[in-house]
Amino acid sequence: MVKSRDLWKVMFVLPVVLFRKCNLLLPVTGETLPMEEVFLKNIFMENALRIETNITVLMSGMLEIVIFSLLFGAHLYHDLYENSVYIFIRQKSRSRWYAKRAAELFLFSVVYSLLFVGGTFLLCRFYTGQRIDTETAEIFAVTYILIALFSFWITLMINITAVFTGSVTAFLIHYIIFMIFTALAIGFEGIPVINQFRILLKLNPAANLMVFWNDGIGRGLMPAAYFLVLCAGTYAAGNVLIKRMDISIENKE
Amino acid sequence: MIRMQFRLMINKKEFQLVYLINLVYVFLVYLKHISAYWGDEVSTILSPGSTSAIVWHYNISRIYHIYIILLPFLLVLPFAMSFIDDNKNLILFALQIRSGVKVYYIAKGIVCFIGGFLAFFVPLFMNFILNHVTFPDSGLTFMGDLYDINFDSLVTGAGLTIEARGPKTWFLPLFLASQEGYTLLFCILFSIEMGIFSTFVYVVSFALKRSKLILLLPFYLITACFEKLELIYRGREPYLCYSILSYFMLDGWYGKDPLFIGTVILAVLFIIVLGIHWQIRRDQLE
Repeated sequence: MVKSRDLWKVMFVLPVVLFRKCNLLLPVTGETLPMEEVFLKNIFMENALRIETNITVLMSGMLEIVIFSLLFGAHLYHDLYENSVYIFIRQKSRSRWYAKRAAELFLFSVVYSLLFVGGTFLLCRFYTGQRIDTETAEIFAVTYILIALFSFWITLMINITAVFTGSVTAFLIHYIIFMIFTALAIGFEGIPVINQFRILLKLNPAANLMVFWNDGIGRGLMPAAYFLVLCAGTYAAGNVLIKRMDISIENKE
Repeated sequence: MIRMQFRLMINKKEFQLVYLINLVYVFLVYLKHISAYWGDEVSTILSPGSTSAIVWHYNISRIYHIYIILLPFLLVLPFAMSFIDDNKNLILFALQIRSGVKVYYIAKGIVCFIGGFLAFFVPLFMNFILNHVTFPDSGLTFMGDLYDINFDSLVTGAGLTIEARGPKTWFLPLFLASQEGYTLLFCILFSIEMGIFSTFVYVVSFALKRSKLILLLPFYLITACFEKLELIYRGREPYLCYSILSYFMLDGWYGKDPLFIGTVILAVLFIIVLGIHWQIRRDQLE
């Protein structure tokens, strides 16, 4: 069941977006950049090419996704360590409980990303005053789907890893791993041996999330299919883990 | 009570994790400088004060920026979540009965500050010792060569030879007397800053006591707000540096105003004192 607390957490992104993109509240006449460029620049705080950017700006651009991970990184795990004995006595099927919670998490990710990406899109529309054409709508849709899937995937992974390590350590591990992936993507050409295998760049989650790089597994919704595969794999691994865990001793926090 | 809390802190996984991350960072910086200057002429190598992990240099630029990104989370880890732990483990009441409510909260705040300080200072000091025994004392400084045309303007902020882009170096007499001592002073100031912010997050945990993960959010948002202000006001004159975590990192003085950072730290200290006082009163009334 969706609680009001969770709704407030989802709505939390609105003031964050308004503050971070407050520069878009002052519309300029005669904005020469196309709206999709302004949109991509404000979603990720820049839209420079992969080899021209730096990790500080990129991680700063991930703020809204990091906030989602922090707000919902213990969504499943919280129930597991506080109420697992009570829940699994009443509901024998752990898989059903896990599916329900993962579906809730996915729903929160969808709504949260819609508020984040949609809010930014509307602010860009207000700022540029340009009409929304097919290309702009396509970029919006692709960006929204990628961010929703990526947020869900990484937050689900944090929830599952938290079973072993606790929520804070799980978050830090995944945050650092993602930073490493981002650093590897930015400096890919300078890494000896690895730079011979272009497929490694294509499979890098950071390269697939940053849609303006065009260095991912493909164009359009191909990165989304890749993230779907990652989500499915993570979900399956989590299902096995939940079924096997001994709830009487899992109390990491 | 302080001794008991301190023993508890150093055995906690979170404190050991942040200590380990800081150790890894300082050793990576050290190794990066060594690999950059391996086989070079002695006079071209940076001096020990300039190879510190809190001194920005292009050799360590990527690692340095990754560390700055992690800082808002690292300073929360040492002991700021201990109140949540005591609350969830149901030992809060027992500890307060044993020591008294006031002693409990104040002791925890003190240990939180000490933990935040030590988790950063000890690795930085180890880095300082390593640099002292490795790098030549007569090498380049992070302000450039002593007779470089930039040196005067960067050190004195006077703009006699070329236009100075910032104020004079803080603690100038110490800088001129001993650059190693200067870097050590900033290691201490940086660690004190981390200790203060760590204690601030401990006070915030009085309100956000449901989840440890959400406790990582407030300070992350605060630094994001300051970074946004930095973006808005960058390029305007007079420029003020809003990046509060880099004030005691030696990456230049442009825009760094001691009055600004002093005000921020005083405000944080005020919130800490007020928060602890409010929580003590609340628990005593209950």
